[in-house]
Amino acid sequence: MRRLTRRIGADLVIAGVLAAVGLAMAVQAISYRIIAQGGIGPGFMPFVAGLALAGFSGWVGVESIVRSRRGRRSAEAPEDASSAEQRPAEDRPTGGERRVTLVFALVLGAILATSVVGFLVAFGLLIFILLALVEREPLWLAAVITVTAVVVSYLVFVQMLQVPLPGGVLGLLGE
Amino acid sequence: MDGVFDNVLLGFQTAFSPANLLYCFGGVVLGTFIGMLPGLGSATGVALLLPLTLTLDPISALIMLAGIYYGCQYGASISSILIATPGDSASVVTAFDGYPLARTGRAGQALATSVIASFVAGTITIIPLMTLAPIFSGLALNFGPPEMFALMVLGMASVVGFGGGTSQAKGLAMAAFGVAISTVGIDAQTGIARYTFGQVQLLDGIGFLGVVIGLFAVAEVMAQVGRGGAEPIRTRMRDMLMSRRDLREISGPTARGGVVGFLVGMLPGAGATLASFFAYDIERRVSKKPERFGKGALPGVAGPEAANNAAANAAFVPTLTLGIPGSGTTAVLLGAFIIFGLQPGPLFLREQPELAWGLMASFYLGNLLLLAMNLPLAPVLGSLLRIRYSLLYPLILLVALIGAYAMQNRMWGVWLGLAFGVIGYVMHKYGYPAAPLILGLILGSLMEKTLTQTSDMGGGDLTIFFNRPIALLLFALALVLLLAPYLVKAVRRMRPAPTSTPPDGPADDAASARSGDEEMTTLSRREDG
Repeated sequence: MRRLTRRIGADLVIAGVLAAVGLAMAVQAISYRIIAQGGIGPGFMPFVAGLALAGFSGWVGVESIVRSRRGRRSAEAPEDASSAEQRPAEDRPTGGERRVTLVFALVLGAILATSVVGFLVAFGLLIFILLALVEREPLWLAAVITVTAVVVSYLVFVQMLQVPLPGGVLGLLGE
Repeated sequence: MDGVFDNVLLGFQTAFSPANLLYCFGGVVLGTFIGMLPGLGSATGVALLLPLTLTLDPISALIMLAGIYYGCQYGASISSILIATPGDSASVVTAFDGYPLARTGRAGQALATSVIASFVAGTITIIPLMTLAPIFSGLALNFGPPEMFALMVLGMASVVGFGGGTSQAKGLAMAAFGVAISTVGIDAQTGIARYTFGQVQLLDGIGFLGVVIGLFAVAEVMAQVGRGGAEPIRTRMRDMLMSRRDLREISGPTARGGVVGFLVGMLPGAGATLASFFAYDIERRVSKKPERFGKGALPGVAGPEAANNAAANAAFVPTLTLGIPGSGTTAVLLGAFIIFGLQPGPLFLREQPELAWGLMASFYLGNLLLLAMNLPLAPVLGSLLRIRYSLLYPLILLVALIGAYAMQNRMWGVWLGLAFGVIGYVMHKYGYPAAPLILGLILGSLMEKTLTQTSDMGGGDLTIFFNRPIALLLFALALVLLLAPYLVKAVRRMRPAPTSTPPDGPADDAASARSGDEEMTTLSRREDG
């Protein structure tokens, strides 16, 4: 029940954010002119899309509230095995949210480090940290995979496909 | 007819010259590898390798670029099936069933289905391309802006229909979100900057590739990381063979996908992505077991794969005969034509018969080479899944984010990839489908353009739609697609409740269909154990 409530709460928050974005876009679109020279103006499409986003997000919110009421009613009945099986995947505990946050943070760190050490070195470090520290792979394996990935990426993208990957302030493995 | 036959013969003579054979082979091999890299789709592949062909003669260069185009289509399907990270937007749908098939140990069959369907549709539709191109282009010309707009609305409704199982509202919200995102940047009609907030990076809009990489590659990796400890999939060689039953099962979807793909693909701007979505929806609707879709149905791979390859052929109809690109990749190819001093258009087939027909004949050759290359390699590629995910995902992140960078050669794409990775992860977790957002983003600018043109046609009056029967028919179909789930539900409620439900009865089917839809819309909400 707590998980269901949490999910409905999350649905409401997401729907609220989307509705706010939609409304903001629609309001801003008015300044771009919805009608221009007797036809539709540059603000028309964003105005319609923004309103549609707000409207459909509102619908999602209403659905969540309806589901919440139904959930409260059914919570009084004991949960059987089949209903537990049918429970959506996101309601089940994954236990990996911290890991996901950590990986996202490390990717962010790698992107920020690109301006200093260059793309391939920054992402090479990211691969090594992910393998050695997050996944607890043996250090030698992490090192081999990292070096191979960086060398192959350099040969394929920089040398073969001429992708000018940033070399950072240090100008490493890129421009 | 003799003229067409002579031209076809001339085309094959040109395409089958040793040098052109070599360039075609080089193109399909490079294309396959580029297509496999998440995010580096066929348009990017052709654009990246275009400089390499500048020293060649035009026919060899264009044959090689077309080979890259085809190779990318095949390669993109491989990454869609094996790691659920589509290499190209046209292969997004392939992941819906291809990846679940791979997760259940049928990677080889999914790959073989993709190759066979692609080859059959890609080869057979060369015949209408060669013989009916002028007639078909005449028909496509009848589709004015109102019809194109209506067609895109139908496409969106079809994709939102995927979300019917969980929440159609979420699907519609995501479609609207995609269209809204597509309006960021300089308005092509008036030059007004919209939602740029003074940021130079936003003037070009929010790049499709960064969004796709974020929503699919990064979000998928994070979802897998979140689950943790996924067991590597083991696929035996003998499991990879296609049985006669499998071949029979995919024959219908391949044929339907080929027809749908060609018809949709030859409409300027519609492209392979829309064709593959249409084909998938059709297969799900005609299937006797729609509940299998999204969980690993071979027709769910065959239909879209046939459609996107047929559409790739068909996209050349408007490109060669009208000079209007039929897809993003043919737009890049059109640029290549112009670089070589060639101007495709109504007179192109007559003025450049060797080049035009040679290019079309090379499509046949390219498909044949790809079949010969991909079928034996399916088991090898399937073995990629034996690599532990903990070793694979850092590499996927690297390649995906390089792809995000490579589109415009700037870090902005990487930032977009990360931002939409976070958004995609949240969407994934709370059941918001990614496909409508992607289609909204792809079609948004084209929808706006056609709507503006329609408005201009009607002197600012959009009731012009009421005078266009084809457009009205397409709108009506879109409405039916959106209302169908509610009508079915209402009809079902009106029926008296059965005293007992048989195991394969309609109630069970509906429940399964709902869960199937849920799987499909979130693309990868899959449990490993």
